[in-house]
Amino acid sequence: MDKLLNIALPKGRLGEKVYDIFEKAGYGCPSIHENNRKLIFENEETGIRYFWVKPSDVAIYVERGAADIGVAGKDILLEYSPDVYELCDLQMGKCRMAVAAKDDFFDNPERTLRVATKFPNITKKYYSTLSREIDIIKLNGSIEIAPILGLSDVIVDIVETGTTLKENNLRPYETIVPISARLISNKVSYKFKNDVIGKIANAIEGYVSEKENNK
Amino acid sequence: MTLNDNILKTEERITFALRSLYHESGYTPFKMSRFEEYDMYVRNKNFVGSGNIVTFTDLGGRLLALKPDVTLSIIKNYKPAQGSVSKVYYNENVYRPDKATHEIKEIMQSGIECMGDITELDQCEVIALAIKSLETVSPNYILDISSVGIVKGLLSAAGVEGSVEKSIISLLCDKNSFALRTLCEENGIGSAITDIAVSLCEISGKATEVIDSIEKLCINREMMDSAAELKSIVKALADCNLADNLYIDFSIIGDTKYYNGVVFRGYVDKLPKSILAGGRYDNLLRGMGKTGGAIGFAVYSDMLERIDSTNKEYDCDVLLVYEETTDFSDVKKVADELKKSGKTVNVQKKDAGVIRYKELLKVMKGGETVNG
Repeated sequence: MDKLLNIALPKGRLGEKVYDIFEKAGYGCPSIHENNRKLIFENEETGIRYFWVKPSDVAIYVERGAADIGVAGKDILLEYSPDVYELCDLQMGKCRMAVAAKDDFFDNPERTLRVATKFPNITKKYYSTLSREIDIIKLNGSIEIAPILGLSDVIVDIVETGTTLKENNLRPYETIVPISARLISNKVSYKFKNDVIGKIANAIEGYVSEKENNK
Repeated sequence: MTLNDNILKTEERITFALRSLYHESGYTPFKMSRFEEYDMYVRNKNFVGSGNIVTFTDLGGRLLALKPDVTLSIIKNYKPAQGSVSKVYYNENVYRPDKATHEIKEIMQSGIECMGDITELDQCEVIALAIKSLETVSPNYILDISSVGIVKGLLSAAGVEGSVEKSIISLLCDKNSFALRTLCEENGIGSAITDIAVSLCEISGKATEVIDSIEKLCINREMMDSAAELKSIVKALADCNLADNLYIDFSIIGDTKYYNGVVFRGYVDKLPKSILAGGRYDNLLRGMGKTGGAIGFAVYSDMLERIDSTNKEYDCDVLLVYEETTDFSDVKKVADELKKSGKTVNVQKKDAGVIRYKELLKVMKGGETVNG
């Protein structure tokens, strides 16, 4: 097994915030601040290697052991159910998975509900708990326009502030589950690199609880 | 016939070593047919882990399946005999869906099953064989061990069942202690029991070091009995110097419907997933109408090819080329000499730059060889 601890971070603002916590915990990698297009950064002194990946791919890197730990949204974990440990809730990137519909939407239970979403598994699971028959329309983006154009009755998507919905004359209808960023670990890495993963998880937990207490 | 050991791939060598390990311990081989009746898998769908089974109708109109599992077939063939234990091992291909690609994958599985009048000694022997199996694969291994009874005892103390029970087990498996605490609180589980659940979730350490702390978490008979059994197994293995890489971890619990006592899962440092899984499964045996106890494990050999990360540098030791007029007998003579000295030889008309070799020899007319 690679001696370095491989950490997959989600590209973007959230990933940068997460990196700051790692740095404060003593696992920094100064070269990451250099302004270039490199995706991999190593700090041999602390034995850490960071890499930036697409947020939805973090779980794949961790599940397959290319990364020992990583930070992924709960939405991705629920949608793909990767075989990983979920070590702590970073209380960052908070939003919710919700059902949204046009302002004048009226749910007619006699009809099959047409649902457009990027998250077919979460959607299927949610409606099966309600025993509601649905027709899932899997889209890859611009979900909001599906109900407007009559492609679907409702959408299941991530809602942060609700502004995008509002601007498209939609409103959140029901919350399925709250979402936030999670620290995940490959199950085998957790066993063989337990010391360092444990330290990082504790440092992050400490940071998160301190931040919560200061609220 | 002599067999050159070098010809075996890593996974084949390990498979043969495992076979010999089980054979030495008196386990007899179990050979099953490629197909089984679909009905058996449907009745034990949860144990098989998926409803996605490849089925077809045979000439007599029976619905058959490509086997997704070996244990069920062994149970079906097992004939209980009072005071005796049946010990079998197997090497079989099973067919299971791959979660990522949604395709059926052929997976090589080796394993043992021990059924009948099981004693603690039998359990220790099976776990010791699991440890030896991991040692065969890699010197850097870990065997996680745990007890379903402890978790079941806790769940009954908490008075939960159905979907809440399922969620608690799933959070234990994810080591998601913060969500576990929230779930317990939301479902009105008392703080004392919640703390125990969270402690079990967070335990991960050398078995010999953490076993005593588990005893302290037990609050009812079921938990105490199970913890005592686990402790006794850990002690027995430690007495045989087999507990150095034995860890206790409750994230490996799995399906509590089929497993009832100790469960275990093995890992090696070079592979990102567990390669060995097993446990005590009296419930499954009973569910199939057989009496007695059962314990066993499987080693997933399909991932073993990833153990050896070195890439081959050469396709052969010697690339032997010849002139258009060279006789076959001369080429063969040179090639045979080289093979006798243990070299691998590939004969080609010329070096087309496709084959990687250590040495290039040319056989001239008359049998003389020149370099290059």
